[in-house]
Amino acid sequence: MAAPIAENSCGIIYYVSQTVTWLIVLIGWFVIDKQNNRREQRKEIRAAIDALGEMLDVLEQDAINFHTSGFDERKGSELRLAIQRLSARVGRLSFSENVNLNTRIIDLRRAITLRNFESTNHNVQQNDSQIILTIAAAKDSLIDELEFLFKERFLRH
Amino acid sequence: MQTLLKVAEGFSKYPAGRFLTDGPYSGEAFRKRILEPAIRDGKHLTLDLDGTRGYGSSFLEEAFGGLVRAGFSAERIKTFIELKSKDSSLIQEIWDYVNNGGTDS
Repeated sequence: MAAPIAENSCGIIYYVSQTVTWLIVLIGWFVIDKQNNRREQRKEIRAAIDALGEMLDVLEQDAINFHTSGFDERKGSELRLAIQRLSARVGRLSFSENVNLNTRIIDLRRAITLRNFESTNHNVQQNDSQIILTIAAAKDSLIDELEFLFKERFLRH
Repeated sequence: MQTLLKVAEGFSKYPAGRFLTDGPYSGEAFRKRILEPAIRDGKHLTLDLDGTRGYGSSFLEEAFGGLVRAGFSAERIKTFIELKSKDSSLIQEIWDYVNNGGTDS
């Protein structure tokens, strides 16, 4: 009678150990998959922020050219479109619903297009004028906010 | 009754300028032709802001901040105007002008 009980016990131990082994394998796979996804997402967002930085450099230069030259309706129109495209690209980032980010985009649009933007009020600005300095500051603030959010998301822990 | 106006189709794909002297599709033109009549007549208007080639802040400020300067209260504006856009920064900027009482020019 003792032999079947011992056999049963061995069987149970075997199945439990097999189950535990598979559970460890599955949990390990899950953790590695999650880490890989996070790494990929981090690379994608890093690349997107770098591309936005380049877009912002061009936008800043175009905005400065617009405000430091005679009025040019076509350039003004291009600036409006460039800001719209930039805002759309920022919106595609996974942390785009951040309120501060929206505020930084608004600040940039206002810096470039609120004042001195119409033919009737356009005055050629000096490179150290308040309008030019505000554009540079708004651009820097947007970049800083993006970098802050990236750091919070991926580098904090 | 709620009326939907796609700005790109019902006004202009190229809204630009602050005052009428800046062009026919300025913020002042938008306010006087579209916004003020709707609010005055108590019509609920949904504005779809998407589809244009971008907005300047001077246009937005004059169109919406200008409503407050023209005597419409922020509450009345919000009762009759609804905003729709994929760009949430546009909506936030417009309500900022309305809430700040049109003093942000």
